[in-house]
Amino acid sequence: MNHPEWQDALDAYVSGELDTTARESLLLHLKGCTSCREEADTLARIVNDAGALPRSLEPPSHLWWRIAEALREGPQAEPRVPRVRTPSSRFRFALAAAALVAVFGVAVLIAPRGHDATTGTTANAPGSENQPDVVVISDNAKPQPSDWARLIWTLEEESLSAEKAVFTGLAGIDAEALARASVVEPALDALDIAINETVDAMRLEPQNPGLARALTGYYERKLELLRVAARLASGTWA
Amino acid sequence: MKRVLWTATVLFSLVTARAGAQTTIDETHSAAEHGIVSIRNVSGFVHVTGWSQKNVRVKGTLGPGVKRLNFEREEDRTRIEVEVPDHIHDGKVNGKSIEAQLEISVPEGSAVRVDGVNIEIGVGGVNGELELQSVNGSVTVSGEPDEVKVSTVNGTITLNTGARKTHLETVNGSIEVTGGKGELEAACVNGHIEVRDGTFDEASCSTVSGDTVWRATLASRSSLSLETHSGSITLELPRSTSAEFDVTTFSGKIANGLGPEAKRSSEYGPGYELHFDLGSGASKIDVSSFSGDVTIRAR
Amino acid sequence: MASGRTSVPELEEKELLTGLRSGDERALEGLYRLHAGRVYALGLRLTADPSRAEEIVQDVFLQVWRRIGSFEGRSRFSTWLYRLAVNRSLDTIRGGRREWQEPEAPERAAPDHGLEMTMDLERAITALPEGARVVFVLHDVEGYRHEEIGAFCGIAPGTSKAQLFRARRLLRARLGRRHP
Repeated sequence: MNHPEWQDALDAYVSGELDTTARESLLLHLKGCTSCREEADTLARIVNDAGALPRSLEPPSHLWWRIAEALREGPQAEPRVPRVRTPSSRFRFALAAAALVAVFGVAVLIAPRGHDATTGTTANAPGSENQPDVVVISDNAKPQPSDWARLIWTLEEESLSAEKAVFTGLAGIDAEALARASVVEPALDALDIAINETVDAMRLEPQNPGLARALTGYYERKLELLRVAARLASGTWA
Repeated sequence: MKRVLWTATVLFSLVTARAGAQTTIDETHSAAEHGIVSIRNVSGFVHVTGWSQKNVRVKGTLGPGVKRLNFEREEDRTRIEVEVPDHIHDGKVNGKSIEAQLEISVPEGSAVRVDGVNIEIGVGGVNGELELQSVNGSVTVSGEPDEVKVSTVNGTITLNTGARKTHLETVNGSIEVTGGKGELEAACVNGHIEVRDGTFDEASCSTVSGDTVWRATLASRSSLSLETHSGSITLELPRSTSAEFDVTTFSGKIANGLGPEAKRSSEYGPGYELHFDLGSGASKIDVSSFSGDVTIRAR
Repeated sequence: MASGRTSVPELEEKELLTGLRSGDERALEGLYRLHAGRVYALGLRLTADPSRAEEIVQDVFLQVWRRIGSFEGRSRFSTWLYRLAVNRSLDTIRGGRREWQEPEAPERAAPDHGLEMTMDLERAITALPEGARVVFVLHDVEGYRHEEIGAFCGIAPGTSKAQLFRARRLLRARLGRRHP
């Protein structure tokens, strides 16, 4: 049985990212808690093994010759997918803020119960920590004009936090719990494809309200499915 | 309605399962004429039939892993629960099955709730509100329930009813509705939706990747909304329908057998749109698809 | 290849870079011999796709050839190069349609003891969902910090932490419990 409230600290601890006070507090807890100690051990082993993986892997030997050929071909040899750079600086607050409220209002309403509300503030202050040079969204989307980028960023954050909530506070993730929860995976994948495609479409037609509506709908369904997955994994359905 | 003088839960029976073997049950107890019957069964099937007696009868078998069957009544509420131990592994407890197959008869005026995980649910001849929930299992409903609410993850929902309010949700399964009136809401992610027969005032169907086929009728001044991302949509209506149509796609094609041709939504965009009136345009029909094709034709 | 060699003294790399700037193909080859293994490993682990990883190596070194002018020498060449590699890898992940990865069969057909799985870490990483895999590789394998990962991926550091959390839990579940 894991302690959900210590999970974040455990993760930061095995990454060496915990400050002194927090570390001392965690170590004190670990002294008396076998399950968290075991968790820390397992996590540490994974992190160590990961760090010990070979940094360099031999590519196929013909690869250099392909490059040499391409050099000979000259400037046509362009990378297939050009990276779209959009300036992050000019963030049209009025429009974007309105969009965030419109969507974020929905997102708050559908936040999973028992879910910690930290995402709320993060999304509200998108300009604060990181102003990446290129505004690129997480694994699900292509680059977008900045206001839509923030919108999608908010939705993705909420979605990821919900996923995290699925794993936190569960009695213990074993293969069976995962198998129970993974019954929703085909649907999550279908929704991710729909999200990907809709975001691509929004790049072509950023003023199309139907697309934004559809996108919000897909995220809502995703969150609902994640709640279902959480219940399935924890075995508390019936 | 006579007020029932129960002030405490009367536990009719605690049928304890025979250890190590399957248990057969057949219990009948009185129930309110228009009461609520709620049934919980983690695994197996639950078939509910309405009858004219003022009794609830539970017939069936309990797997060897089942602890017991609780059958209790509190005023107008009857509760039937298959109690299983906590540590279920692969659908079994210590290698013993926790499945329960239940055939339940309830007063036909009852409202029925069924809740389970790996169960197949079938309900027929019940007139009250139905609320049915499963995870892995199909749900079939027939008869004239007042309201039907079904939710499942991996399972098909099949309805053949005259319900006036229907709300159906599945994730990986399909939805088939025959008959019905009033309100209909059907949603799935990967499955298809087919609605044939029935006359609805307000209906909406939504899928992500499954196909939608609408062959039902619209009441006058009704509204219909069909939505999909990549599935196809087929809308079949009688030529006598009076409706205002608004059909848009991002990249899917639109074929219209009831009116004008669709036009490109923009000079450079890949999508189509179609706006026209049939008859006096009394009802409102909205069809929206991302990449799925839309076909509208006469029935 | 790079794996077996001792690190090249900075002087030699400086010479290669000079050669590169003057359009000497052999200089590119020299840098390739030094760094391609690393770029390939990054691409392979981030995309979990060997043919894409090959494309990434190609594209990155072609980019180096074309854009060496924009490398100002303020950071180390390898840092710049590996950033190109990460960015290129992330591009290919976003650019292509995401193929649905079937969860590894052993999970579904779990035997009675459930947890005795011998999938090794590399394979388990390839089975992770994209977002989690990218963050895990960048953080736990490559050693980038959450802020840097956020800059690469255009996500907040908090999101990066959430993905890492998810990745580690999924890996733990897939790898089962190892006995000492």
